[in-house]
Amino acid sequence: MEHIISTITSELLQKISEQIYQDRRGKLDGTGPQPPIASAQKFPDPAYLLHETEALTAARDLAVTAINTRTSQLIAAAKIRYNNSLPINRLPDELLVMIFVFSACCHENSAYPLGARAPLNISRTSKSWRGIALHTPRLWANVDPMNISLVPMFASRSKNVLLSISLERWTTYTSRCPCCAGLDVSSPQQGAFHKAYDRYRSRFLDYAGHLRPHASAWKTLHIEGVSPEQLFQALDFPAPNLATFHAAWRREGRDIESEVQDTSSILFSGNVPNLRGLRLVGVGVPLNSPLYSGLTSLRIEGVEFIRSSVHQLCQALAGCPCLEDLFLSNIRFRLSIENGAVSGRVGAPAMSFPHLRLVWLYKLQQTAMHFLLSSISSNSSSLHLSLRLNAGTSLSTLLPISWLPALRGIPLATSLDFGKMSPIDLMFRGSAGSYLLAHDHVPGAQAAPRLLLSAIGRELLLPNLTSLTLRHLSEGAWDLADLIGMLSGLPALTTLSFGKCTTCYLTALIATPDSCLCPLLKTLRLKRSQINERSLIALALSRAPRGNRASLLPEGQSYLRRVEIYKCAQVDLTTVQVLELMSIEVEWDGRDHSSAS
Amino acid sequence: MVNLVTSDNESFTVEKAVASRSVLIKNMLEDVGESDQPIPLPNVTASVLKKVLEYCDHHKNEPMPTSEDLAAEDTRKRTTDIGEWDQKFIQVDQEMLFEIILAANYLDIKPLLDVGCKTVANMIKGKTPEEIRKLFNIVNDFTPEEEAQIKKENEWAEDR
Repeated sequence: MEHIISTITSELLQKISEQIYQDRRGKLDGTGPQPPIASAQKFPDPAYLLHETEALTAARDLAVTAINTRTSQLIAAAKIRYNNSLPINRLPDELLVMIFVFSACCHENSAYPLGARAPLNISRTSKSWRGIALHTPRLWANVDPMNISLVPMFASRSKNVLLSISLERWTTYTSRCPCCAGLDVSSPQQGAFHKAYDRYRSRFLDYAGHLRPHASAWKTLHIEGVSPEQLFQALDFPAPNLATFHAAWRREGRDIESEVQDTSSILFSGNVPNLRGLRLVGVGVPLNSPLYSGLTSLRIEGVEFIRSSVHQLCQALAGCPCLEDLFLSNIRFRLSIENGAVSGRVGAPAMSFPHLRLVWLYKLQQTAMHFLLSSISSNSSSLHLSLRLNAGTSLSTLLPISWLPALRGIPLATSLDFGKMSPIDLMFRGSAGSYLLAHDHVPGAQAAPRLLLSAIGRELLLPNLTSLTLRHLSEGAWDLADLIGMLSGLPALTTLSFGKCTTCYLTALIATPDSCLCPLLKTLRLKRSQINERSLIALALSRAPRGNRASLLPEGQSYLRRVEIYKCAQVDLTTVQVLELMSIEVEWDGRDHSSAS
Repeated sequence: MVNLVTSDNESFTVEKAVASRSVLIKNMLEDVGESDQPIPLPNVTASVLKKVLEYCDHHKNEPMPTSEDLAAEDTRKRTTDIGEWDQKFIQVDQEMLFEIILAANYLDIKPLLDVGCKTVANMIKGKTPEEIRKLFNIVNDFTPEEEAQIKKENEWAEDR
């Protein structure tokens, strides 16, 4: 082998050097020395020998360079062929793209050091992977505190795919990602993320400068931990493609921030024609801002409006006819309804939102809540209205509900679920939509259930209500007289459910010659409640089919057909069998009685 | 029952509900109608089809992904979460993993394709290029010029 290489090499060098020599001689106009190589001269001229040495040296250098280049090419080609033959690279490009997108788009990816996070690691693995990564713009469209310094590179590689920028703390950022739920918050990776987050916050104006040249490519911008003043100062340029803007500013020990009053800068210079989702937490953008226009989702939390009035909020909402979600929480207006009137108009304007499906009004001043509820209406058949009333507010303050277009479906509700959890809530459901009225939980506030429930069946008539669920009620919070008062106003009930309720409630349902609450009651559900067996049997007997001698149901009333008992320790098989003897279907701990026994 | 014939000429008889997890086979069955004719699957070997059918059998009672589910691709791609059973099912050697992905793609079984791709994505997640190369036996085939370009990018990335 060595001999062959030696022969080939010497012949190669001889040829190259002859060529070099002739080239040089030609340049000397034919007056130079004769070629010494292979000449028959006995004593060659030293000048010739020097030329020969130079030519051979040059030939060697050229040959080495050529061999190195060619060898590199051949090795590179062999490596590519090898890589292409690997099992993973047998996957077509579109499947590799899918894999890369999965690995790049999970929020967990953002916690890794840049060298180990997709798509940077992918683009540095092999030539073919780099090619795929660089031709997949969406891999490069996510910006977070860890990679914000690489924005120019990401923006150029994301091409026409708009950027999603999330400059939030780790917990906020990953809360939107199901696969990040179990991540250890104290891992080193997240430590690096926190560090990057703190760095971005402390140098926000610099980073905003990095981002600014690409403002036309922003699709979503989530910013946390930057004061409203800095936001207004840094983001004073148009973002024509921005569709979602979230800004959150929370300070230790403060749950409400004042409206920004310095109007010298206008956020995005008011030019965000594609903005559809706006969420402001502790960032009081004045309500006359052009940002509140054309939105489909508006969430404002923890803001005290100093100059803006509830009238201006209504005006802003009127500029969002396609509004789908409205979330207002912990909002205060310093201006009273009268003082905040726009163009001298004090009354609530009528506003209809045909696509409105979710309204959350939490911790608003009562006057503001009333004003909004008097204004907003929706034709949507699936409106979910959630009101969190301030502690001590009675449901009666919202009455008469027929005056409030947003709540007009409540009297048509067919089901009502009351839960004394935190917060205490009332869920009305019916063909007109579902309505959740929540009440701030005040520990030890015994009157809270009464505040919510006392109007039902009395001031708030629910003629279609067929199903009522009461949970977590004790006699101390809601006594038997209260229950009787409510049930007497709900004559259409066919299903009544008690969960974790006091035992005395059953006695209210025992029919007597003088009284029969819920005359159409057919199904009784008892879950995790302290049951008095005697009361249950007395109730069943009094509502058993006619023909049973104990039945006290008036003529024409429905009799009790079904009792469902779940996890009620006092109930035993004998009770179940007694009920069954009265031709009542019994489901006991999820099984019908026959299988249970 | 449906009769499926693999590339290595092995025959599998399975319930229609199981075979129909594959949109390709489902469409074939709809086109052909009631027939005893075996369905040839020239791109799938017996060992791979056996695994694929194990997946289809486990998920046969689940609703098929709707066009809306598939349209919500952005949300889907935001998570690499894999169900517990699926995680155990996909614990196979790399060769088999890639074969399953290819088969799921050919047979048009979107949920299985997702499981396969997410598994590979999870293998890549958080690894440096060198670690990825080692994992999949990839050699570094960059030219010195490309290496220099990457190094330049790294100057931004390092210590950040």
